[in-house]
Amino acid sequence: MPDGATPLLEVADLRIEFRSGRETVYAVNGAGFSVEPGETAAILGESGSGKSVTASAVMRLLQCPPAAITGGAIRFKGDDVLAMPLGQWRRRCGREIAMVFQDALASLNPVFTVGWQIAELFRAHGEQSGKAAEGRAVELLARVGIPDPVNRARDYPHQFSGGMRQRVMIAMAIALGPDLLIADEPTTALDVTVQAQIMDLLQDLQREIGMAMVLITHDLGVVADVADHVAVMYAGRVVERGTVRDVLGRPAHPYTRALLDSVPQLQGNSSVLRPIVGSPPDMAAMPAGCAFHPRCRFATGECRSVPPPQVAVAPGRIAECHHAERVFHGG
Amino acid sequence: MVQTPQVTAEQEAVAIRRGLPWWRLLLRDPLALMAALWLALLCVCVMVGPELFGKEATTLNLRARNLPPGSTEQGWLMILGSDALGRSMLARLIVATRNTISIALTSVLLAMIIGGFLGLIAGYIGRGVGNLIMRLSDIVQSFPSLLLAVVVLYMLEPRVGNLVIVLAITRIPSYLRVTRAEVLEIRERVFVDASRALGGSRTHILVRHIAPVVAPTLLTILTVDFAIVMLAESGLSFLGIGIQPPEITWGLMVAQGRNYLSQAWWLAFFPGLAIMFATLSANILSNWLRIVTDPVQRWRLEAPKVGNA
Amino acid sequence: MTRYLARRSVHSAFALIGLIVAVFFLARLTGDPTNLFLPIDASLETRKEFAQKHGFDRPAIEQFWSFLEDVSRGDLGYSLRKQRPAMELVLEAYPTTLKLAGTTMVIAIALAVLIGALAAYRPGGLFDRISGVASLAGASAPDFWVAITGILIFSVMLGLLPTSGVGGLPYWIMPITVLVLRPFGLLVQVVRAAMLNALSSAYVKTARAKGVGERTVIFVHALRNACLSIVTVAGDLTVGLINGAVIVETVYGWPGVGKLMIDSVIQRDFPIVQAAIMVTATAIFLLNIAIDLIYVALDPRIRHQ
Repeated sequence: MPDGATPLLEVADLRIEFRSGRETVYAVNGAGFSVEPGETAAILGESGSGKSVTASAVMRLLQCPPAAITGGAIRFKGDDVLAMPLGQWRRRCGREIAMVFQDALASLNPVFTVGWQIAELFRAHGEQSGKAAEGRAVELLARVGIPDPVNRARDYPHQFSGGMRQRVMIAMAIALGPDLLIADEPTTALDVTVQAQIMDLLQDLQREIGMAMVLITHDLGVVADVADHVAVMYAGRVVERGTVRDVLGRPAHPYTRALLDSVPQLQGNSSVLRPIVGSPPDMAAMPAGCAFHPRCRFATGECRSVPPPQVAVAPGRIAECHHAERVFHGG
Repeated sequence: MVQTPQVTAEQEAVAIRRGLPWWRLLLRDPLALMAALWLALLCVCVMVGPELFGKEATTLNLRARNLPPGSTEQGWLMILGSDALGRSMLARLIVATRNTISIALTSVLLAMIIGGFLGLIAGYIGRGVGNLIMRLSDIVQSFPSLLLAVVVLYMLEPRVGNLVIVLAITRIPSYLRVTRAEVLEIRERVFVDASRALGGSRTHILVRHIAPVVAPTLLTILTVDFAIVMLAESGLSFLGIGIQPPEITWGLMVAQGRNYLSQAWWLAFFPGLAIMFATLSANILSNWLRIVTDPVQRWRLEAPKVGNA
Repeated sequence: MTRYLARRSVHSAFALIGLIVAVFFLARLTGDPTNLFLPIDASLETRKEFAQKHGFDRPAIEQFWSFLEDVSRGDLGYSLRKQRPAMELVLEAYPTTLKLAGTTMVIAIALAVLIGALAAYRPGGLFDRISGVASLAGASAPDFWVAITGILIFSVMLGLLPTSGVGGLPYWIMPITVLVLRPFGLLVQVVRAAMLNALSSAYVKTARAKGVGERTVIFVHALRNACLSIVTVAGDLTVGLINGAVIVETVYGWPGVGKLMIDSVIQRDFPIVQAAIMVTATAIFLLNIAIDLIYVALDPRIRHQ
């Protein structure tokens, strides 16, 4: 990892709560990761791990209330995102940093044409308006691989298929050539062949524009294919960080180990699927100590009561576990 | 839904989850409490008003003619003023409470019973009969209720009985829809379970299952409708098409006082104010009822979402 | 889309026809129909003569048939008091009512959208409280009493506004203010709820992620979607507005259909009442069709069904 250069995006010890009535849900409990210009960082985790919330928080898109950012810092290009006035940050959204969401049908406004919504990027950021903006919208539709873009620009979101809609979202996101694209489970709602196409498209665009990407997913395969660095999240914390090759090749955290073990292998002698026992913790009532310990086969008494430390098992490799060394060395 | 600022829906829902009885919940919301107390006071007036104040409301007292409000020399009863015949406004208001409230209450209860019953039929039998009922309900709902009442009362003379029936008819559609919707939903659920074992007592089951579910909603509608019907009856009586003298309601009192607006403004003002307080109380209470009944279901269904991580 | 519109039109037409039939039969089946036309103290002789002259002694179906024939020719009877065709009188009075109702709805909608949107944007804030109080007042205040109190304060006591009548701006202020209360009160709640819904949607999140300004997010992205529910309620409110118009016209002496109808009821001039009902029912029918068309224009998803 390049040293000394300012990371494009830096998240440190982020804490986010959701308060409703008497209950408080601790969705994110100290998440941290960073992204360098041009690289692809993945945030890997299951449902409820806090990955989407973290992404929304970076863009300051959380509804507060009921959400509340209770701690930590977010730096984009060295600037403190949480401290700056919202209006100022919004002006940078869409232009320098953009986001693609999972459910394209819900995320596109049903009453405006697709062309209008893409052209809005140019209108809102004072680039172009009217015919010129529409023209560029059509160009973008063509760039993301939508056939007959001139006519399709006049169609509404519900007239597109799932994959096409996702391409529209991507077109909107890259319209102004942002430095960072956050993709929140961009392919989860799509079927497998379309998934591959979309991921290819994203990588193409990334190379062409030279933008970094934060890919949020629960799919190990996608991470292995596409990402340079990965941060594994569990119960609102980043439990392991490092390059994809290292983390997936030689995990240092029991959770990552268990994830890898649970993936069905095509070769080898596994007629047995090894799912991770137990279920994710109740985020309103977290166990003391390590959040993963009830499901962990390395767990000891210490894990039950003492929060695990961040252990650097190798340069650039951090795992949050009492037994990180053991797991790392194949124990 | 109008927010009563003092107590939020969340706080109420938490209190309900703690299993507080309804009167404790009422005590927690001062506005709703005042509304309930006011309505209780009106009920007292309905029951004993004419007996206690009947004389003062009708006897002429020429020494106390046209007294403005605030005058107490002729007795505390003249606190709201008196009319050209020296009758106490306060006494007349109290006596007129019986008619005003009874007409409104009877109409909404009638509407609830008939509407609920028709809704049951429309939902349970469905098809031909059900559709016909819904079409008729649409006709009633699509036309302005006041005009409907005016026309029907024209054709059938403005007797109290007709007034009550007409007002009830204009409110039937709301109960009808709600009940029918509930029946349609429950029919799907209960039918599957009960089909084999119960057969003929399906109706019994439907009634026993529907009532607890629909009752809270119907009650909320009832309180709102009470306000609506009060305003409707007052409007009709004001126009001279509702209650006819010698019967008296607050609406009619406003009409009668209108002629003396420049000399004795209180004659038209206080009866209207009484109407307003009554409808305001009913609406506030219905908002409270909505918070007490609805969010309990909603709260149970809504698990706190962690923003889809 | 055309199927959707056609289905809704038939639905509304059914209501319209049902109403007319109901009025017709109700008038003839409840006791002596001549009661509706003649003064209460008319003699039996006069009634018999009248009944024969107007065919009330013929079988109901025959009467209905000739009634339909008359209606198709636009002949809705003759006002005995005013010695003019009933239809003419009603159509003469309608523009006044339309002006009153139209202005009121425009103001009510504009205010409700503005305040409701701002109330939804900051729940618990100033506009939220204003909208709460306003809707409570609108739903509870007897319009005739507010009108009279208004006259009391602004005309009798302060002499600022005229008590009644038509004319320039001063004559409009009180009638419109009184009439606006209820629809505004009800509409602002609907707007608030619809906007709350829209503002917490995924597409609003996307718009913000695109860097779109908050004002555009509220008044373009969210509002345009909230419009759908708002339009439906606004349509119902316009129909209910006629109730208020009757009162306002009567109190403030505006020569609209409402006042005409009440006067006719009191004077027992049935043809005008009947004509007024039919014209009103037709107007409502047309209004419903207009609302359906607006709905289709607003929601592209319906267009492509």
